[in-house]
Amino acid sequence: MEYVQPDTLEAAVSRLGRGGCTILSGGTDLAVVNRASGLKPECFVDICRISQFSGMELGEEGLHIGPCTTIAELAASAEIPHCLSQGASAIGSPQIRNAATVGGNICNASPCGDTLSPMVALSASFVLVSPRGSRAVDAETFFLGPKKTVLADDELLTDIIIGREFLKGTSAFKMLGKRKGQVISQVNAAVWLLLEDGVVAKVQAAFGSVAPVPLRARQTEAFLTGKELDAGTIHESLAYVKQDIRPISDIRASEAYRYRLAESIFHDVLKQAAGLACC
Amino acid sequence: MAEHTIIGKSVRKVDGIELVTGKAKFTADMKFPGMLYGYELRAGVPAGIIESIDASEALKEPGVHMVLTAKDLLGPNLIGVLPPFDQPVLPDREIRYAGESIALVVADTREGAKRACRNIKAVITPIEPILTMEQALAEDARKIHPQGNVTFSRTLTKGNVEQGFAEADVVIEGSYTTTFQDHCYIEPEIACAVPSGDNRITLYVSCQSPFHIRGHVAANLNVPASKVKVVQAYTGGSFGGKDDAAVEIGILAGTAALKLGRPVTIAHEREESIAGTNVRHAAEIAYKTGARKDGTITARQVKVLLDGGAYASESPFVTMKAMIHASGPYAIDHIEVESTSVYTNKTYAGAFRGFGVPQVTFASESEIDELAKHLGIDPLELRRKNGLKAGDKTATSQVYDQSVGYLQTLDAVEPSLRETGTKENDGRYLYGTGIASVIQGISNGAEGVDVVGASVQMSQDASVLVGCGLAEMGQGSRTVFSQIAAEVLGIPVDWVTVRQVDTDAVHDSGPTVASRSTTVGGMAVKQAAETVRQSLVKMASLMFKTDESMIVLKEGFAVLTVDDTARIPLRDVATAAYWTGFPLMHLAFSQAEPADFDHDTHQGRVYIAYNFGTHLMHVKVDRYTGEVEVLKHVASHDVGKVVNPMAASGQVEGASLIGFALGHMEKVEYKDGIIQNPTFADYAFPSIRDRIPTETIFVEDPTPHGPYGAKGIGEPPVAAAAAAFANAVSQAVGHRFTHIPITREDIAAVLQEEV
Ligand SMILES: Cc1cc2nc3c(=O)[nH]c(=O)nc-3n(C[C@H](O)[C@H](O)[C@H](O)COP(=O)(O)OP(=O)(O)OC[C@H]3O[C@@H](n4cnc5c(N)ncnc54)[C@H](O)[C@@H]3O)c2cc1C
Repeated sequence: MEYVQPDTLEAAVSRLGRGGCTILSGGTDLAVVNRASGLKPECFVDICRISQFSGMELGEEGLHIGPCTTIAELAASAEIPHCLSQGASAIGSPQIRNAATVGGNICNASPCGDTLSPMVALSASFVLVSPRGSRAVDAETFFLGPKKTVLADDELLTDIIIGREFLKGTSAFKMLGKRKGQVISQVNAAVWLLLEDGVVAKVQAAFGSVAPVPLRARQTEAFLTGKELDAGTIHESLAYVKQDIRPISDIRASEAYRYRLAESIFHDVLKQAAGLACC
Repeated sequence: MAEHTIIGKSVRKVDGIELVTGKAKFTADMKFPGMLYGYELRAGVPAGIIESIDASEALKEPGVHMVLTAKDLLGPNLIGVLPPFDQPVLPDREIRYAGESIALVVADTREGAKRACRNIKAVITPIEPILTMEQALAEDARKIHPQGNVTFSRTLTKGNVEQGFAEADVVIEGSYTTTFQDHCYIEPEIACAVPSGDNRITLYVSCQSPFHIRGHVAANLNVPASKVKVVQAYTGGSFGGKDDAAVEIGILAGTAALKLGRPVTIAHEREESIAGTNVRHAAEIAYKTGARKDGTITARQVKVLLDGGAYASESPFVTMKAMIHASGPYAIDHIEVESTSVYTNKTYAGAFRGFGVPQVTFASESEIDELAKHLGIDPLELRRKNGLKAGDKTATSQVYDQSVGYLQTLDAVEPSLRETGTKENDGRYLYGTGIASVIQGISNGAEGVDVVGASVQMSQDASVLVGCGLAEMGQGSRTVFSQIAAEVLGIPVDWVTVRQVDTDAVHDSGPTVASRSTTVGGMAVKQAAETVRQSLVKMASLMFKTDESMIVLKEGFAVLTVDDTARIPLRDVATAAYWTGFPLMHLAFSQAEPADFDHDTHQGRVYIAYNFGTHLMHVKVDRYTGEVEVLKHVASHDVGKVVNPMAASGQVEGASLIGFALGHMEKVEYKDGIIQNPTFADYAFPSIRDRIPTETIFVEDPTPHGPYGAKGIGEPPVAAAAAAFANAVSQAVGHRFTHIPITREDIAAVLQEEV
């Protein structure tokens, strides 16, 4: 088995171009997957030495987040929208958050990944690079199914961009699982909100663990837009949440309970983003 | 000696530093030259017949040394707790649960062994599995074992329940169920077998009953027990779970090690620990309780069914324990309890902290609350009215004239009943309070003789080595034994070392179970230390040229009673004693008063003492999500005498968390006989954030059968916490939950209101 640790994006892309590679970032998902499958990939390409892959930087388009930025860094960051740091805080334990990376969370594409609904709610843009060149993909279209994305075998996530528009406004994230710590989401939700004089100028919401991919809650958003955000509106919006999601029953929760959680969590995040007292 | 200097003090865990700094060597830390790794292939079907196992492909893989199947074993291929044993180490024909091991691969690495497992071709003809107790007990059911599907069944009869119900003004009935729970210790099962040049084999193992393992390993390696040395390595929790499993992997590692002449380690992964080794019994329990209008309980009739899974393991004893405890800590004249354990094609159930008591306590205490509601009597008053006192007859008609501190535990929690704190109420939260009481027998009791051997050896420098066959597995027995030896010998605690359990060097003390370490083990340590003390006092009296009654041992000195400044360092006394020929080592035995009861009615003397307890919980329930916050948890137990408040509170906190998780979170989920959640990703074992705010209040009503009056505390809080949780949540939600765990999802399903 080969293990390479390129220092540059070019070197990484060139090795990827030769095939047989598995990209290794923090390894917290890969370790579990490989242990379960017992398979050994031909080559691990460890991308964490590539300097531009770590850290955050404000640029023209918006905030750039390197894919190897750790979940712990995101959790502690005040520069990023609140829902994203909250999502990061919800992941695993301190040990996991120190090793895990945001790129890994995204590319692992688990329907319950806790930074996924924030990424979708914030309309993040993902820059993907392969020997054929570079392309930008919207968070919402990046995910194809559980553990499935638009990434080609030789393609790499190199940058995550949160547009300037979404650095304004307020946002919130919440998840619930079967216990309080170190737990997989039964449902999670993120909302980003721009209020003007108490009226919803723009809202974007997304749910995780309620479908094979993180889902934008478009009907709920449409209902809320232009409305004054009071308890009544919030309550009414929950009827739309039901229409926006399509949960299933599995070992983690029943379909009925997921509907109930989605409503309750959305109620809480919306109030939190709006700065209204709640829970 | 009325005043104690060390007993009753919060002495820090004597092995704490090495544990938290990572210096302590667990079995997985042990590496020996040439060591190989074993990995078990598991059946994957809940019931079936093994037609053939072809390992030829696996054996061709690089690094693979051996594949063991049933035919390669050296002995009778039979293990268990109570003869006649019913469990094979590896089945040669019939598979009885999906997690059952059918072969062992030994390779250079664990990963290699695991990979090779995939290349073993096992041809198994599936049989229709028996997955429920109802199926197992059906008249025409297939027999999982030749004797049928009833593992063990007994009935306890006190008085006459018919008469008791006739005397009642109200009779209520309820049915309750509980699920399988896994031990979830941080360190899964592990054993390392090292053959040595002298024809012996040493087994380093994480376990709780080293001599039980030695016996089974020797029998199944077909060597005399004296050829096997079992060393209990630091043990990362056991809770009842590292007996059967440690025996199984001990035999497998030992067999491979003997055959290959090389050390072999078998270390379970979490999935194997959950799916392959014993769990807490699931139960179906029916209660009928009769009472007079004033609250006096006149009769209880109980039927307990325990799902024991594929093999007997500890089922017979768990069945007995559930039976004896089912009527609760109450003085009731007429009791009938029928208790039965049943075989099914699921992972076998065995010992788990609480041992049958949590299941019946949840059911019993739920029913007591229901009775209180029926009668319009406060639940605490109803318990007080019926509570056992010294001189009352227990369910087995045993009478204790002291150390029955049950009513004091009710008094202890009572002030907290009204302290409900501030309630946020925007309609979202529901609040409730529950109490529950427990009675739990201390010592092996009806499970057989209860003897502990402990040695105390003083060196010429007055430091002390204690050896005892009971295992330290986190419960703090090393600390307690150190305190007892130090107290008796008048030396500081850090002069005492409690050695690792090594079957070559300590006396067989039976299993470390039944909350018996401090009580029965502590007694043996005390007696051994007292004999050594006699040599010291005798020597000191010669040195002081005075009468022995004038000598006290304290602070590391022999001191004259009449002049505190007249002191001889104990090291000088010990050295002189050695040169004078006074013995400085003693092996003492303590034997719990044996049980003596009628084997039909189970009336008579069973346990040397009972621990009594009452827990109170205030909970806040989120009406939307079913989330429960425990706002307050008060746990009061009569422990006879608190030997170490910090350690005892730690036991109450840990056991309560297991009880809380049993009541709220944990369940092993089956589909078609296969466990669906064998990892912590999906098995809702509590994290540190799920801890509950346990406050402990001890009641001290001493027993003559324990050192300084002490009774065990390791198990009882499990039952009381689970039951108090159920009562608190049921009150908050206004709905009687009859099944544990009561999960968030269950609560939300009852609260159908919209968000
Ligand atoms: C105990 C434990 C608890 C956990 N708890 C949570 C939790 O609560 N919530 C949650 O969401 N997750 C959780 N996880 C999952 C995991 O920690 C996260 O998904 C983490 O963010 C993955 O990041 P990583 O850097 O470790 O990924 P890796 O394991 O290195 O990679 C994950 C996948 O992404 C691919 N990949 C990584 N980086 C790139 C890239 N730049 N371009 C293309 N492909 C890439 C890898 O090839 C691999 O397929 C938990 C994991 C463990 C072990």
